[in-house]
Amino acid sequence: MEGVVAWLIITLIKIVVILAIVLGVGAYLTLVERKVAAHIQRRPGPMVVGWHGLLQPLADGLKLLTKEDLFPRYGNQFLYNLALVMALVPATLVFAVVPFGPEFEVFGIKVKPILTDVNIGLLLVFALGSMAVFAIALAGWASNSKYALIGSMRKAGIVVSYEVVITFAVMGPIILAGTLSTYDIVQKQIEQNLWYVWLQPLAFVVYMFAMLAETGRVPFDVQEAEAELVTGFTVEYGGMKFGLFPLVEWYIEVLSLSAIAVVLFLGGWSPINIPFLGFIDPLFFLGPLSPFVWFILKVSLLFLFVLWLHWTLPRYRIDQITETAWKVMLPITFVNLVLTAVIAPLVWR
Amino acid sequence: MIQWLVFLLFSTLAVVSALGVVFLSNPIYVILALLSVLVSVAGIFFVAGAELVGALQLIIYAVAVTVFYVFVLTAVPWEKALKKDPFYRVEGLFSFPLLLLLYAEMFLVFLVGVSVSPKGQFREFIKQFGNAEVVGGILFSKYFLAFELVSLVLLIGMIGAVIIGRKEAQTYESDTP
Amino acid sequence: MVKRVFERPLSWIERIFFLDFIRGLSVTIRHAFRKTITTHYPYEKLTPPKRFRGFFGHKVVDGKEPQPAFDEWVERFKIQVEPGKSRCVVCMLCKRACPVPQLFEIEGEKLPDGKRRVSVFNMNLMLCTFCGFCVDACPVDCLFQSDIHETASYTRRDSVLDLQTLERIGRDWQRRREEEPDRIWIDDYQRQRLWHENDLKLPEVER
Repeated sequence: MEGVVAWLIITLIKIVVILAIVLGVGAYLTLVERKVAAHIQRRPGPMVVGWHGLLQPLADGLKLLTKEDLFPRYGNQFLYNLALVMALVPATLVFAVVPFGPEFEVFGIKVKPILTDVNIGLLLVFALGSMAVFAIALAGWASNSKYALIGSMRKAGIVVSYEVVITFAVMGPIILAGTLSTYDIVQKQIEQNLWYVWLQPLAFVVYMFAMLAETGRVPFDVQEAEAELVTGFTVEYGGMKFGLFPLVEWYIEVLSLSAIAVVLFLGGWSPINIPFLGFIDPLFFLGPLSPFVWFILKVSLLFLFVLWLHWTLPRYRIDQITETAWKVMLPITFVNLVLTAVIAPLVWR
Repeated sequence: MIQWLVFLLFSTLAVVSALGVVFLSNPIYVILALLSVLVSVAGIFFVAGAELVGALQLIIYAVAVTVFYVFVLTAVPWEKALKKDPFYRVEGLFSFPLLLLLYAEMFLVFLVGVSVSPKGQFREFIKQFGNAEVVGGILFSKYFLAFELVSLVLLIGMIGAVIIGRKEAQTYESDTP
Repeated sequence: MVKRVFERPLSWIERIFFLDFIRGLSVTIRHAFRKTITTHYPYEKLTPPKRFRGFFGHKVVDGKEPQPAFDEWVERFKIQVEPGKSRCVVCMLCKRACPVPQLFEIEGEKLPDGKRRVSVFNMNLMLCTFCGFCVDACPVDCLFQSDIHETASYTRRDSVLDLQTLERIGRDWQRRREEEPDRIWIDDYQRQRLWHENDLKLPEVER
């Protein structure tokens, strides 16, 4: 009984910590995005609220919360609000299987910094990741607006094509690791002294592109297309409801998918890896904290890379996007998968 | 105890949403209820310790299949979604005996299946090897023939889809001067 | 001279290694670490060039009127010329030139000694497009557009300029910028700093 209580308490603490980190960081990433965008365009970005605009997300949140809640005539109020829930919940649930660091001991209790170490963690990630499409389709339909509908249809098309691509892209690392659990994949990379990005560069590139497409980032952001669609499915939303969709899509999902990319390809919480040399840790002085710092560092670098791409590239057309998915990326991932499946058992183990 | 409670929650949810699938009139609500059924069935699988089946349920049924329904139904205008047209009332009445027959068959298969199915022999394996490995092992040993046949059927289906798509494109081209 | 019709298609190496992506990314990352070139608006403001089309004003009589046009128009309409007051001769040409003539409300009055002068000159800037036709039409260089561009106000009444406001803007303008040569780029400190740090190497403006 005591074990069950301890387990419950630990799980509750984990849930609270993860939710706080995800939502708080998600809000502050808006500031990061605005700053990066501004400096790429040689502006300083938000400067007035707080030191270099550090309190800007709070001000934005206050503004959004106090705005009038408009609802389009003839829309469907129930689905309109349900779409919000369906967008937020799967996106945050993905963090349940993200391992933040190695197992550690506090007060004699062994704690894994991962909410549930299920042995099919990756499948869950992709199932939950593509649940977002329902939220967007419902948002488009319930708000009774043609722009919203077109945006949601585009998003559904993109997610359907790139979900296939992303699932096949991660097959390579799964074959190499021989497991579907996120925690064990990182453990395997540490044991084998090799990041899988060195063995699967093709899969990594395809994964990054599919990640951009799934989260609606440039160059695949046709579903919001400010110029033609006036931000797509969020047109009819106002106030905090409007703020929630970009928060989920652009920040929480990008964050979760970058975390998964770090887990799969960049060795999770392990320090820098050079093939044939092993791991080199310039942050050794942090002691037991160093794995966590490495994980956060890698995720934030990937996130900044996504932002950098976002504010550099132009937008593809919808037909180019789906064509790239089915005609270029899927064959590439097939070739990668077959090669890995043939070569890995011969050479690897 | 906790497991039992969670199972009760998910099964109640599944039954209630299944009733919703049958009785709701708005097609979008019907799709949502179907989604709810599939997700709660996945939840039951997770409670029972069959994580792989639960995840596949989520990926294949709750996402891949239902997305296509949503695709079609988002093109339904809102005023049509509010209509309550009793289509197919007579046909429904005719098909009722067939439905009963189907249920009887399912019941029979279930009863027979319970008597034949493994009673906890795989529990040790699952504990030892993990879910995905055990399912893979069974698929590639005991049910190998069925597995290969199904994959062949799927391949034929894919080829058929490609051929149908190609033919249509050709007729379209020959029509244009 | 060879005319370039469209871009050369990407080679296979460029496609496989995303070389065009990398080129674009290198441009943006270089810009990201340079100095910003913007002014922090409410705290720092740019002085607009002299020919900026901002709020309207009436230049006042100060002995620098365009001659002989001003004297001819004064002669024709028997206008009373008072130094320090508007040069307007109530010719209504501005109203004739305006695409939205309703925005002008111009009236003259007759003084006891038979001379005339402008008494009402209201411009409703809610209707104005700041096209500047009225300024071109003005024969005596009276109506002009100043560099005042922060035109937001709390009531619609405040966007109607009356004669006193117009004259005040005009007097202020004549004191500040009448003598300045007309040119596109002004060489005040802010502007110079802005374009200097921009690395654009603009030629120095000749005085």
